[in-house]
Amino acid sequence: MKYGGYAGKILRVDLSSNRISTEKVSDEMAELYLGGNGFAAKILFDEVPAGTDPLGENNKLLFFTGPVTGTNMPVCGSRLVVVTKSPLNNRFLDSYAGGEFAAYMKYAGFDGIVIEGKASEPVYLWIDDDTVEIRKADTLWGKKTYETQNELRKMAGDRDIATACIGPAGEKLARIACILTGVHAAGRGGVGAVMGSKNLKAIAVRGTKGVEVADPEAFRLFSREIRGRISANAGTGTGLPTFGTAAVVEVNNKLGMLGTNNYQKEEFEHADLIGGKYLKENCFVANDACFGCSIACAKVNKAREGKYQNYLTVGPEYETLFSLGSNCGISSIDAIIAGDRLCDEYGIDTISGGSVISMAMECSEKGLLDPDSADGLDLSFGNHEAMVELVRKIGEREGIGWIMGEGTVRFAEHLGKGADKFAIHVKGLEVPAHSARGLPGMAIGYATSNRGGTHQDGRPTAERAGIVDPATTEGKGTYEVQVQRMTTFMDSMVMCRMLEGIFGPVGLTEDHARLVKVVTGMDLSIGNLKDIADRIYILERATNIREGENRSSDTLPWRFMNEPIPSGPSKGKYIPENVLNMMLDETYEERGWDKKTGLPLRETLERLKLVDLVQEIHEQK
Amino acid sequence: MACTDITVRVHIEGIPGRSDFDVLLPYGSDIEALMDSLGSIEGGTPLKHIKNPDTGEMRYFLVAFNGRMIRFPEALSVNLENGDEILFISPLVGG
Repeated sequence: MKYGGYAGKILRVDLSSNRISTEKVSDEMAELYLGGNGFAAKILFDEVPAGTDPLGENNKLLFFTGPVTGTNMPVCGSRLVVVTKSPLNNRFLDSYAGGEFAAYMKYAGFDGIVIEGKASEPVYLWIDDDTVEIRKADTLWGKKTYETQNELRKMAGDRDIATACIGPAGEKLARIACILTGVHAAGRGGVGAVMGSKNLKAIAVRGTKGVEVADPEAFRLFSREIRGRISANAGTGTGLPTFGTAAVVEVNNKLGMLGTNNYQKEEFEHADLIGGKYLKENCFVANDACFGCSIACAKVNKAREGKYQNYLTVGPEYETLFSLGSNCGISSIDAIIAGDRLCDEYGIDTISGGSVISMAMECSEKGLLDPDSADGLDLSFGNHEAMVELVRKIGEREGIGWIMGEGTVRFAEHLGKGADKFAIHVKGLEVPAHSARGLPGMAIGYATSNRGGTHQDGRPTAERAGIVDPATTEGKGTYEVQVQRMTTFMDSMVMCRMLEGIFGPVGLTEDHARLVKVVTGMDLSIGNLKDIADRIYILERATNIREGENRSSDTLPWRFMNEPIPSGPSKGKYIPENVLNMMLDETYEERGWDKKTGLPLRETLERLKLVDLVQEIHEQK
Repeated sequence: MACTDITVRVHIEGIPGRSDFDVLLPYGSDIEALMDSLGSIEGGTPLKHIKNPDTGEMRYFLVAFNGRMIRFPEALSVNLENGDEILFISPLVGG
């Protein structure tokens, strides 16, 4: 390739035929899709047709890096993207993890790994630079994630390898199963179940090659500048290094924007017992950082007493403190630590796992789920023993844990009797911890995300920090498109979100363009980056359009549109349908999509060099 | 405390060590005056987190005044009363 940052090769592994091959990354592919999620979105769209069973042999599982992966640009080198058709909601899915795996994969010489087919028995993939082998995993199958990864190191006779694996939840095809890479999770949308459906227990990689950037001197200078800006920023220089993402619990609660009791309210009376300061003073053991990161936002915490004593976890992150904590009404930090560790060990997404548990608690409260149907558990909000036991049951797919492992939508269908009102999801993906009712931009970000309820396409950052006015709704559709362009770009480079305070949280900037130039050598304007981001986002949406997506899919949970926040500083806030519609109109206008259907217009497709999509998309009308 | 003084409760998000302060101010003070007072607490450490002492540039963009979010610079002129709660919200976010 003529561009820097890329390994230049994609590895393909067909588990049905045991065929292993490589293909080159073309310069044109890099120019059109940049890398990471962009490459993977293109491959998924081209190779996984509509109607494919996500847990069937024909779905594909893609592990990708970006051009900046493996470099020492601060907070840029570690991220991995996993792309597939989601078994949770039958849509395009991209899920991200930190750690070391992506850097090692690049060092082995691969920009991406495409897993195809299905092995006839449990296997793992061993990559040692150019040597790639499919190996039996019969001794690993059934093991939890930490033990699996330790065993892989023993089997390799080398601790300096990187690993990605599933736990029992993924093996048993729980649709909320994640993939662990070290202690980090590609959490969302059931990527772990897809891996399990292919009988692929793990991937282990040793890489010894490097990454060449286009302009080493310019890269060095930019890297030094970014490191300085990270240190000077209040969030990345102080808050995150001290408390991790747990820092935001207390103030979100003081703002009345902390989901509590399955989002029935957004004020938790015990927030100070599950926040960053409390964790730091009572449970903190050590800092942890992803590959090449100068922030080190990961915090190792340990439960102190009682039945959870000595449970150790890397986290809990803010999302987990919400999902297993306030949203279940739970104030025992020790129980949350235990629940977080068990989710990691079983390979369960903590957001979706916590959300389906809080939903069960509300259904119990409303009389839709009696103790006999819940394996005799008392599912009252605040019962931490029930929460921890449900995590175990979901992981083992035991009793009620079987249906709960299918996610909130299928759990609601199973319960019937109007339980769907208590399933807090967007497009089948459970909603995380950032208030849609309190932050209108976040609301439209959720509604228009291609994967569903995620805070990683639209972002809460600029509204929550006050960089844009959190009180207004007008203009938020247009604003969130700018944010989504930024996140789509970041996911194709593949960069950590913690940099949004450094490069700017409200859209693409000259810093993004400069990063591309020093790493790859491509001299692109902000307009060029915008077009690349729009091209990728449309490809993702087109994957969903083939499955029936249209404007009506871009919506919010019933609760967020019909029940105002009942108390606290944000009392009365919600997103009524007319406000959502206004923001959707703005979104489609900014994107060049049809306001009536939500489909990209022909001229938009042509402008973005997606002419081959015209027929496919407009046949769906 | 003179009868004309007020006490406000301040929380600064995302700073190491002490993050909660009760600050005594003259009646009629606004948030700008509060920030000046923070400059004399603990050697000025709390204020340094909010505002770059070298450049004067604000590092925080928003306060919550009794739960109501107000951005800088509008926030600077908000008048304070006894018992008010002011949160300085850090530009960080979870996950």
